[in-house]
This record gives sequence, structure tokens and C-alpha cells, in this order.
Amino acid sequence: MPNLYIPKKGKVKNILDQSTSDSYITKTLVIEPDEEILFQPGQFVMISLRGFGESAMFISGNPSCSDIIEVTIREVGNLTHHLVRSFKVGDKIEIRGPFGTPWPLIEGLGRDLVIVSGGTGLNSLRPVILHALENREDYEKIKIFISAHCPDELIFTEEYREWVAHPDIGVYVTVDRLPYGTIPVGSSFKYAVGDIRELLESVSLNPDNSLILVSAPETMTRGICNRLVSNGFSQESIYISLQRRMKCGMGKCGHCQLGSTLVCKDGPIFRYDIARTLPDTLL
Amino acid sequence: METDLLILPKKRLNEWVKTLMQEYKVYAPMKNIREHKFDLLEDCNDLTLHYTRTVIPPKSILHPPCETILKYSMDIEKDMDEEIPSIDNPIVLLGVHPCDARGIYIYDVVFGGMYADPYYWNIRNNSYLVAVTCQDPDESCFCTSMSELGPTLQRGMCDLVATGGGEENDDIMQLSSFDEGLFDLLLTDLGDKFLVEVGSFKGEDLVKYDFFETAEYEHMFAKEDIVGEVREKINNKLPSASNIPQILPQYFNDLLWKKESEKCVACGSCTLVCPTCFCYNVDDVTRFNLKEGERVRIWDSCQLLEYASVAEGENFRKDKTARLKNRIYHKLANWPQQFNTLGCIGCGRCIHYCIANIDMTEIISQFKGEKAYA
Repeated sequence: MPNLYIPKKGKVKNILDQSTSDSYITKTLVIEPDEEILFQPGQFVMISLRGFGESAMFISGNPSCSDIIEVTIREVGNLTHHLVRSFKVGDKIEIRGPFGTPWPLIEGLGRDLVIVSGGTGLNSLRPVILHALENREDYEKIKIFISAHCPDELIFTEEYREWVAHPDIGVYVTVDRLPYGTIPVGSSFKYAVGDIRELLESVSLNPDNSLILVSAPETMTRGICNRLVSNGFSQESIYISLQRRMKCGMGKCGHCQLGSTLVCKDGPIFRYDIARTLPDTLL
Repeated sequence: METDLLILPKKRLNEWVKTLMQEYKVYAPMKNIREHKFDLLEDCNDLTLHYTRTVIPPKSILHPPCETILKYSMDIEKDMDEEIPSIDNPIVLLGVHPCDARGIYIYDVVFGGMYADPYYWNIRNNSYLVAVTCQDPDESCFCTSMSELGPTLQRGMCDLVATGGGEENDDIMQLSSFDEGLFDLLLTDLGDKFLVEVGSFKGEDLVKYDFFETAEYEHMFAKEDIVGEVREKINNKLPSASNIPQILPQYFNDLLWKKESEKCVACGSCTLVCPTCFCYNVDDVTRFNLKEGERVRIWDSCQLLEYASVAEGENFRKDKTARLKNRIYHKLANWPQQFNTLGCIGCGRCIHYCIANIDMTEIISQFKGEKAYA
């Protein structure tokens, strides 16, 4: 019986600053695991730090590079504080996984991809974008909507230009408010100020032939999905990601249970109409 | 098999248990101040086979309340050590009530499957389950509602109420092979002797001694009479339990939940004493020397406030009502979809030990019968 609680080791190859917001520091750790970790877009790993415990984190790297695992972390708790503040290039880290069900990209073949993210939600969708760019002929138009509180909380800002350079790809960025007196990161990219729902409506989308992937805080997901459904998108074409506290990642510890569904095993990616039937969500 | 029915004279019970204690680690029910506990048997005179319930079910031996799963050194170059204890003397769980034996079966299902738990199975595979027919039920018990046989068990049969994954189906689960029964041995007190039924090939290890005599079929009839008497003492609090998963979801927003949860003090006792509750938390405990530590897993409870909290202060079950509903819906409505049986075995612990007198059978009967609250 394999013991899945034993993590594999990896080395931090690089640390990339994603945002410089004073309140939230976000960084991407580029980890080179000792053993190859094959994953699909939307799966997560348990990042383990001795003395701090474990935390479930979406893989934000390219799924075709299985020798590199990237995780994009915002400082919110003990473990993330340590990872973000005191980790250096060359430090060792431990990983378990990958776990969870991926984004159903097979359903998007030959359709438009609409990718909607809020805050750090983009970390679970970046593998989708990178995968779609590599297999560009599999999908029709790709529209990427990115939102954050303020410009300096936007993540992966350096890559927006690369993404737009591909044919038939639109990247639309919006922020809730402008900070006073600071120069935002990625200011070279034009962004709007306001509600992401307004932005979604301002861009022409094809409700009949699109796969919509939404990764955002739950209340925001609700707002986005409600608006999309009222604009003629079917609930079956929308997929969302849920986040819950997880202790094992494999459906044993019970923490992420919602009704008969375990977010770690049956999710974290859910079809919107199925997710809406789950109890104890904000959807 | 000829030796599947045996008789153990009562005066030889102690000798048998003593012999077992030399070879095995025997865990058994014993008196503990006012209640009973299930603990390591050190003196065979402590053994109590007539008891209503132990406070903590024998799950605590298979899935300890706090167990080290990994040992680590703060020097990350060193590997983490897997802490699976080698078991020299196999464990005998002696005097397990049928309800708790069914709880252990449910644990087998929960900790088995695709990601089988190595820590649980290490102990489980090295343990024998000696069940005893229950003769001392009290008013909290309702095992007859949740299983076919109630206070006793039968060879090769899992008699939990199966719900067929949420569809109307009153069938009782039949285990495919003989060796998969719920018990290795089953004792039934027949007054001056015990009827011993061997439930598995493994169980034969425990009866290879010459304390046993062959039993006749009349002993089986005597057992049936006793079981019949005990059954009459047990309240069938949840008749036709197999349709609860269909009934319960329509009352999800009923006001009764709010009313009941107002009594709740969110202490988590109900989940602590439940033989089928399995949730755990994983924590790192570093020693004061900051050089080494242990990754431990500790029982957790969905009734506690911080259970469903996530980063940045969001809590998806802030409300006691949501937490009470989570427990009862998981046991009675959602368990069948995950594990094919109901998640309750009717031991009555959560009713008996609730300091706020929340009785889940009362809540369900209100839904099933006349609805008092609209």
C-alpha cells in the first residue's frame, strides 16, 4: 500500500515576484521536483513545510513541463507567509500530489474558450492558457478576463502581452479601484476600472459555442455566473473552481466535504449547475 | 466447516482470555468510574461482557485520537520517516457490540478504496474482531432500525441497511465471500456458557485451544430466543430507515433545524463518540529544540467553528445550524451516495452523550410524521 502522506522533495529554482502590493505579496515559486510530477490544468498539490504543515495549492505552471511545478502564492497565513517572505532560490520544499480533477478542456475542443479570473484565481487558469496557446488549433477564439482589487494586485502581468500576441486572443483586464500615488505594475497594459461583469458584457461573446472557466472568490463567481446565465450562456457550459480547507487531498480527512461531494476528490473543478446544488457554498 | 459453532463454558472464559493475553494485545470493555471504556486489558478480571456502551467506541484503537504519521527533522536534506508501527502481537478487540462491529465495517469502506489509508490498515489487518451479542440495550439504542439483525450478527452477512446509492431499495447487503464477515468470532451469553460462532478463517486462530466444546443446534435456538427478547427492548426509533435519504433533502431549509441548533453548544461530543465519524486534522508538532518534530493526525469534528474555515477568514459553516445539518445530512442522506450504506449504525451515543439533548431520531421522526414546524 503506497503511503501517500509522504511528500516528494523538490528544489526552488526560481522565485518570481507577481505583485508588490503592500497588503498582499504574491510570488511564484518555480520548483524542480526530484521526481517528475505529471499534472493536468486545474489540479492542485499539497505544499508541505516542516513545522508549518501542509497547504493545498493550485499548480500554475505549464502542464507540458512535468519537470517543473509552479505555484503562485499569496501571503494569507502562516505557511504562505513563510514561503513568501523567507524562501530563497535553492531552498528545498516538499510536495504531494497532484490531486483533484482538472478543467474539462476536452469539452472546449472546437469551441471558444472564455477564461474569467478574479484575484489570484488566475493561478489555476494559467495552465489552461499555456496549454491552449501550445495547442492553438484545438480551440476557436480565446478570451481572457482578469480582475483584481487594484493594479498592483494583478498577477502574471508580464505575460499578458505574450498572450495577446497570439492570433484571436483577447486579454481584458479590470481593477476595482486605482491606488493613489503608486505606479501600478504592468502599467504598459491597458486596463479598465470597474466591475468585471460590465467588462464581460462589453466584449462580444458567443453563448452557443463557448466553454467558460471561472476561478475567483466564491461570491464573485456567483456574480459572474449569474450574469453569464442571464446573458444566454447555459449553466452546463460554465465550470468553476471551489477552494476549501484540505488536510489530506485524497478524500479521507473530511474537511472539504459539501454534501456527498468532496472538493479534493470530486473537484476542485465543478460544473456550475452541479456546484449550485451543493450545500454550504456561497454560490 | 465443522468448528464454526462452539461452546465456551463460562468458568473457562477467564482461562481463555488469559491465554489470549499472552499471545495478543487484548482490548476489551471495562468499567471506568460510572461508564465503560474500551481499553487494553491488563487484568482479565476487568473484562465486562455485559455493558450498554463504551463512551468512545473501539474505533479509537484502529484510528487513534492522536497518531504520529510522519517524523521529520528540520534538516530538509533528511527524509521524513514513515511512522507505521510494526505490530508484534496482533490485536484482539474482545467484546465488541454488533453496532460497533458495523461501525468498523463502515471504517473499512471509508479508509479503503482508491487511496487506502496505510496507517488504518496496518492496525486493522493485524487485529481480530471478537463481537458479543448485545443484551443490555437502553432507551437511546436504535440498532434495529439501522440494521437487519440489531443486537446480533450473522456469518458472512453485512446487515446494514443498504440504500443502493440513493434509490429506493430495501435490500440487505450480502458480502461476497465468507471471509468478509463483520466479525471473526461472535460470543453470545447463554447463561452458564457462551455460544461461539466463528465468522472467518482468521477467527479460527482464536479457538484452537481446548477450552471449547462442540455446540448443538439447540444452542443456536437458545441464542435466537435471547436475541428476540433483546430486540423487544430496543426502540425501533427510525422505522424504514432506507428511505431517509429520499425524505431528508426536501427538509433542508426547515425551521426545525434552526430550533434544534439553538440548543447546540458546538462541543463536538456527538462526533467524538460516533463510531462512524472519521474526520481528522493533520498538524505539525515541532519539538522545543527546533531540530525535529512529528506530523500528527488528530480527530477533528465538523461541529467545531474552525472546521470549515479557509484562508482570509472565510468560514463556510459559521452557523451552528449549518454544522448540525452537515453532520446529520452526511450520516443519513449523503453517506449512501459515497459508501452505499447509511452512515449511522444506531448505537445511540450521539443521543446519550449530547449535553443539549439533541436527538437526531426525534428530528427525523418529526419530518417523517406530522410536520410540527412549517
